[in-house]
Amino acid sequence: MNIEIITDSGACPLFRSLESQILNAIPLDTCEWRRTFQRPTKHVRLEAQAQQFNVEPLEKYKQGEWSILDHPILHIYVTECNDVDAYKATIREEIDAWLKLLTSYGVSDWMILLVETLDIRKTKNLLPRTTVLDKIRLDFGSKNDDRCISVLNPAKFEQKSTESFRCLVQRIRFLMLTSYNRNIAKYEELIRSKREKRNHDDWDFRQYFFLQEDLALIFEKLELPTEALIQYDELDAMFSQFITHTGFNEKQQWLAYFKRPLSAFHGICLSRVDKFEMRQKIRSDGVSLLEFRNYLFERQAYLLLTCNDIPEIAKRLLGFLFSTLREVEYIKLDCQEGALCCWEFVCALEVLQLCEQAMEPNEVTCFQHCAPIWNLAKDKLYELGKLCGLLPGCTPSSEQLHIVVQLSSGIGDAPPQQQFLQAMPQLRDRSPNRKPKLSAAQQLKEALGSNQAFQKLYLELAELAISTYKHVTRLRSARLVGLDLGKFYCALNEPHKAVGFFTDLLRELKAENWHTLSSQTLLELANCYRKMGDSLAYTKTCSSISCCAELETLVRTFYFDEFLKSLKTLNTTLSAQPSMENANYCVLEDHFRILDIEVLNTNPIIQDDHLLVQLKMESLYPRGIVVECIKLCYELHVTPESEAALHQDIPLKSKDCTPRLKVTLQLFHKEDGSLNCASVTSDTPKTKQPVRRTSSTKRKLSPSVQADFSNIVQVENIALQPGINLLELKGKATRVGRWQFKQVCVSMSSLEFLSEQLAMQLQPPTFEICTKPASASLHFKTLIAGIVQPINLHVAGGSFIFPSDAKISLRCSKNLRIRQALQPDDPGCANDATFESTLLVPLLQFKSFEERSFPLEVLTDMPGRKVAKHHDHHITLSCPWSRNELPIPLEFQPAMEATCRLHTCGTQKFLQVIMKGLDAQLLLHQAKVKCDVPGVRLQDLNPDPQEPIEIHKSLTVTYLYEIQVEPLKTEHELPIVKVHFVVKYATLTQPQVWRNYGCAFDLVDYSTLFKLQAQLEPNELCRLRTVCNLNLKITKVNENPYVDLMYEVLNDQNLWAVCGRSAGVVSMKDVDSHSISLDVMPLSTGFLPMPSIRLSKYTAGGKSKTDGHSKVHPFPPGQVYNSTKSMQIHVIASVSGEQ
Amino acid sequence: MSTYYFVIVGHNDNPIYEREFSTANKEQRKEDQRHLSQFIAHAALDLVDEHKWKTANMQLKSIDRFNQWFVSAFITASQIRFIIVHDNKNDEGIKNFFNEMYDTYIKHSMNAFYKINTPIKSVMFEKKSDIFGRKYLLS
Repeated sequence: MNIEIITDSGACPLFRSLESQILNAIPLDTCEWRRTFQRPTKHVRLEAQAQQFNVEPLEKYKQGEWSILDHPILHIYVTECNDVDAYKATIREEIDAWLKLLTSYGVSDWMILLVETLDIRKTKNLLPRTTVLDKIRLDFGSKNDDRCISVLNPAKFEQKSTESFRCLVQRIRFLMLTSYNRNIAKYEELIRSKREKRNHDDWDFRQYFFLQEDLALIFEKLELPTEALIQYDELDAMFSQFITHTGFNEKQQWLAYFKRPLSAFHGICLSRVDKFEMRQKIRSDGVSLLEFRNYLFERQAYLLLTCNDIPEIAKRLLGFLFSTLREVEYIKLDCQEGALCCWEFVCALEVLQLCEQAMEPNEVTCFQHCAPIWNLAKDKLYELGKLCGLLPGCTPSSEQLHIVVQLSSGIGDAPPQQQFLQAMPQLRDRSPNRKPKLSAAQQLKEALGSNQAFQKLYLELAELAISTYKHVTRLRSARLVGLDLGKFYCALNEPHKAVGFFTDLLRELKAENWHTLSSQTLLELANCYRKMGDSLAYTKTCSSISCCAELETLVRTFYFDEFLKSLKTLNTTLSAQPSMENANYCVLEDHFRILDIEVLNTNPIIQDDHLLVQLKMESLYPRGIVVECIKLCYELHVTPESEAALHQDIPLKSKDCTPRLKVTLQLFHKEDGSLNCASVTSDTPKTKQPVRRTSSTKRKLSPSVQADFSNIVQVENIALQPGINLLELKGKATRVGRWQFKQVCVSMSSLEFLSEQLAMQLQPPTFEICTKPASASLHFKTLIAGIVQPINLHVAGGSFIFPSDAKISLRCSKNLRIRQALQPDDPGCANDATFESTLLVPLLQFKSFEERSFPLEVLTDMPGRKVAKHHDHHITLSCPWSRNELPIPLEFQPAMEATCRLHTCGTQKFLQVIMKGLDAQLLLHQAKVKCDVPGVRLQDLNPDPQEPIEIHKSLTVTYLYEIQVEPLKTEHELPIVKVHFVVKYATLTQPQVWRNYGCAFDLVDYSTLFKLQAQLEPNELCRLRTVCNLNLKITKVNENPYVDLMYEVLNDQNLWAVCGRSAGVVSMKDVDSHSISLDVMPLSTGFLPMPSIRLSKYTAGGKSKTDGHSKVHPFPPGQVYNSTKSMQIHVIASVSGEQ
Repeated sequence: MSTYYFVIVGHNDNPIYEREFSTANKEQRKEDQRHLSQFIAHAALDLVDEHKWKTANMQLKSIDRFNQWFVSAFITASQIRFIIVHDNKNDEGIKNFFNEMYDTYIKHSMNAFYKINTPIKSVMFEKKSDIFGRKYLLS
């Protein structure tokens, strides 16, 4: 439509034939457009229309009332004059006049076209002086050489003309663009000047609108939709500005044009066949504000569509709708109620339909803008539904039906539409089989027609809004739409469909602590559950609502009463309901707040003790409530590794379990190394990345995790007042270990309020339950055999629970007896029969952790042995807490020891019994010896009567007896004589209790066989180094079988020297005595002991060679009596002369 | 008549300060609408999070439309989000308001007794937001 006016005043008929050819050729190719003002170069495709030269547009142009749309862009003078003379005669003047006319109007876009019909080369004149073209150029084209052009008439020279024709078209295109450059600049100037006058009284926006729109249209034709859009956007902004800023004063008379009542409220239509229908209407008979706005938006949308920027259309829609609404409000247009909603709805749907066809499913940008539009459409439909009584549960009244009729007529019919598919190649239909969609207006009308249609459309829109929001990952918005949808379902009496939407929203709001909103959602949910008849869920929700501090007290108390009422009926209904598992769990934090947990017991807590825990809990209910049971469970404390590492160097205090800050020392040094600044820093490690996008939170609306409630403290049937309650919970500490509180459970009827795991929110105190094993032990000092010894049985109960008749049995080993300790004045005290080998110690009323000592006494027989040797015994304990017997070893020291020695005096024999006192202090009495051997008599040589003798450590008592053996009873008959020594003893503490101590001795060699006598001569005096005579006399005392005896002088080498032989053998056969003389010499002065003599049995070596050696056997000590054994010899120094 | 609902949202998407500014009388103000503003602000969080990575500016400007409501947002250096739901275009005023509130918020957050992400309960803060609200939003 690009109007290109080529004026020909010379050869009209000729040009007619060319004209269509040229006009058709122009758009065939693009042309580079070099634009002024540094605007980007562009390749454009031009179109042209021809018309006869007319002065009128030029007149307007001159006056500044022109439109670029109507303005001739190029003036062409066409001539076919090939004769120079003819040219000179007429044409030249004509051209001149034409040019002058143009110049007078300020137009410089002209062109002279010479159509050559004569082929120059075919003429006879081979060298024409000048051609007409040369002449024309000479006359007019002095500066504008390129504006004069010739072309071969293609009608006549078909083949040769092509090149010249192409040149012509190219030139025309070029000149057109040059003209555009100039004219657009000029036109813009014009627009600017007009705009500046906008506050003048007679200024009319509509005129200005067309002025600028023409420019936009030109740009559009030149395929510059973005620039065209700029023009529209400017107009849009200007219009808004007028309305919002100056709309209130009456200066703008033109505003009245737009102040038409909105009798019709057609929406936009993006696929009009006649796009400029409205433009005509605006120009001729005026339009309403809505119509004008619609037109403007449609144009903008069209241009955006040309740019293939459909998302932008969607993006602009909401702004367009609301600014228009605002304008309607500003200029106070009357309109029917609901009219604007209809308009908005239709506009929204129109854009959505466009988007739906245009966008790729994975292209998010468009969906991003569409989502709010779906939502808008849904909301507007709802408003209309409300107005027309179409909401669920309503039936339209006659007035409302009337409104529907009025609105339907106002909506109007959709104008004839172009198929998008044909119009826009970039649009495609996703599913060709789909029924052609109803136009937006039709859909709306249908929806307003019946409740069912309305509901169907509403649900469809809401679902689309939700799914689109979800598609662009705006889940929160999707949930918000879900809230509306949920409400709608509720109204539709399909609450089960609504629940999901509400709970989704609620979950998120709760997780993010939007309390006001979550309480609102709870209200919806309660309504929903009530309709569903889900009394359990309803009860829970009522309970939650009553605890919402954000709600008004009236609401809260109402729901509180509902809660209590519903709770009562819950028991009966619950069993009938096949409810979900754990459905009766509630989130404790919604109703109560756990402020503190403190263990009241002193640390550590002993197993089986009562555990007392103080729970500080805030009740959020508006009134007091009776709770059946509050349980607090605890589990074994697991120390996290990090915490353990943190505590490593810090001694862990029992109650101090809060995590410590990591404080580190920081030193800042100056450059020279000296300290600049010292500080401590504490950086808490970042627990969570602060920036994150939560799509959906994991928090559940009802806790499904129930901790292990096998270890609990609890309190039952307690009234909780609103606000802070201090509760004391009790339990039995059954198991040993380090424990940590895990979860609180509050039970009300069948509802269980479970807290989050406590470990996560507040640091619950840990406590330790430990056990102490029961123990029994015997305590004693050194034990002495033979006397009563005290021992102590010590029983520590530990955490064992004793039956009332518990006993400990003590079983003694052989010869050991035991009894309970008796008082000294007890009659049984002195009676040894009170000792028994087993003893049962009753543990009467023995309590756990009690410790008791039982004094006991043990007595063991004194062992009848001669040597002091300790004595091992043991006592075996059987305790009620253990199945194993416990043997306890006891070691007894003997109280005293007895030894005996046999002494000889000639033929007399004496028995000495030595009592050696050991650890104990004892009294000895009535010592006796007994010998049952006939012919052996023991004569008591001790003083009589014997008084008790005290004996103690390191004190010995000796008893002496003489043994008289009848001569007949020789040793040959009785090699061993057994003698029993018996003595009574008593302790100093109990002197009246006498016990017997017996000891048996074996006597051997009790008769003397030989007597030995030695005598030194000279008798009186011995001199040093003087040989003396040692006379040795061996006498047989008792008959014996030993014949050959050997004697030896065993002298000290320093004292005596034996001169001559020192040993010899004598035979006692048939003789009673032998005298032997030996020479000895004293080697030292003083009283020297007599050299000792040893007598041995001698067996001479036999004749046989094998047994050739003699043998010597010593006599046992009792058989040889040396009567001079201890004699001393006085040796004096020798005579001086001899020395 | 114009209303502004201002909310500061912490790192855990939790509101830590809420305030409403309105030229309308109390009777005119519908309780229902207040919730709606809140709901809109909450729903816009997704969009704020999306936008904040697209620009280095703290001012995210008007980021969302919900029917006639605009949602404008501001994000602090520590990723605390300021959101205003409003029904009037007032870019300049909101920008100034955000800046002033940012200032106020920083001062408040420097209080050693204030823990980040917890609700702001301060008379001073309240007073300041009141002043700035009246100055930039309602005038």
